[in-house]
Amino acid sequence: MKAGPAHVQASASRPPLEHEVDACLAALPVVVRNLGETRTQIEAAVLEVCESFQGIATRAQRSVEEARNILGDGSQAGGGLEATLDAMRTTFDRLLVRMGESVERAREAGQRMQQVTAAVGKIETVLAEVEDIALSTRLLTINAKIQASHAGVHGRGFVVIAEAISELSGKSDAIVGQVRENLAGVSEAVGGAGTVLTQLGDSNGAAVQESQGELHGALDLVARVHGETQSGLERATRTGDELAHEIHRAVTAMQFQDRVSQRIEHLLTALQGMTAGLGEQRAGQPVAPRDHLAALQQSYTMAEEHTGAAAGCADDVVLF
Amino acid sequence: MVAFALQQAGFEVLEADNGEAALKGLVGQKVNLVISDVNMPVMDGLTFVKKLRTDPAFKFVPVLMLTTEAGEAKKAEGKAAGATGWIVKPFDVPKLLEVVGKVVR
Repeated sequence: MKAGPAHVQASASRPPLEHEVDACLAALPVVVRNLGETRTQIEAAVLEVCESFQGIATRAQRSVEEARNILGDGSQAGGGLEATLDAMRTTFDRLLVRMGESVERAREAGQRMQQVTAAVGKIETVLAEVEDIALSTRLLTINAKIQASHAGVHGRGFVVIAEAISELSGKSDAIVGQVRENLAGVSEAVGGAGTVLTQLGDSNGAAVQESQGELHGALDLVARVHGETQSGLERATRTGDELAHEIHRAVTAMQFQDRVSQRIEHLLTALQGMTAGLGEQRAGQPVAPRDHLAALQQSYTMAEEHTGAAAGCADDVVLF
Repeated sequence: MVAFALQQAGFEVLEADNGEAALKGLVGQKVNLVISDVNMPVMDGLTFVKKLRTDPAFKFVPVLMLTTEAGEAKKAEGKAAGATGWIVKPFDVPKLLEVVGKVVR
């Protein structure tokens, strides 16, 4: 065959096949090493990302749990804030009832004191009557003595009786005096206590009413804030659930690393086979030609590596 | 990633990098389920399951293979080795948890 100048020129400029093979043999191990390092780096990066996701999910879950424990949804022992508020309300109501009872008792004591004062007044009135009677008796005694002196001898017995009556009248006066003294002590002790106690009862009663109103107002405010916080907690829980869902999706997506590792592993095996085959040929060893493509295809383990996605691809979950 | 998903769902998880480490780690342990990959260094998953089944303590513990391997021949090998189920990656987390729940029950 007559070779034209263009063909001769092309043959002379092309490197011999041996040089090309040598160049490939030198480069292939480097390619294999680089691929291996790439696989390692991808695995490390994916692991790090997954650990971050785990940290995010754990922290989000912990925050929601802590808030739930503080606020209390009734499921924990002790019940949390909600149960505490209810207990406070009950305790305050009992306290206010007891205070109300104390106020009532103070009012009753005041009224009793006033009754005592009224009774003392009545006794004073009775004492005054007794004193009048005593005075009348003394006057009567004097008259009796005068009449007895006019009766002469016959009046002596009458004088004795008059003197006895006069003596009794004197004792009556003394008793009245003692009673009046004792009454003065009682009046002093009771004093204005009755009025004061009644006034105290009235003012305490008003204070109790006011305190009751203020306490319930404060508890209502706390309950309102608690309600708003519960709503916030519910929103945070929903956000946490959404976050968990997103993390699940990310975890599913991260599994690309497995498939990449597998593919790279198969490529590495094929490249190592090609390197060995070329090396043997280059060394002049009598080796039968290898079907590297067939070997590569046989190494496939994943559904997506086989030609035709449906080939060998059954259900992705099988329980034997 | 599997450990992460299971721990989030409240399961206690023991981890190992390969079949040999897993066999050592299981000594003296009581587990409700074993999940294993097929392609692992040192000792692959199918060898691991075969050896596991020789231990009376783990003869009846469910073993799920979680792997990129999808071929029917490989699945048959897994079943013959003693695996309870075969899950092809990528796995959907809720689906994995559903299967785990079924198997553990």
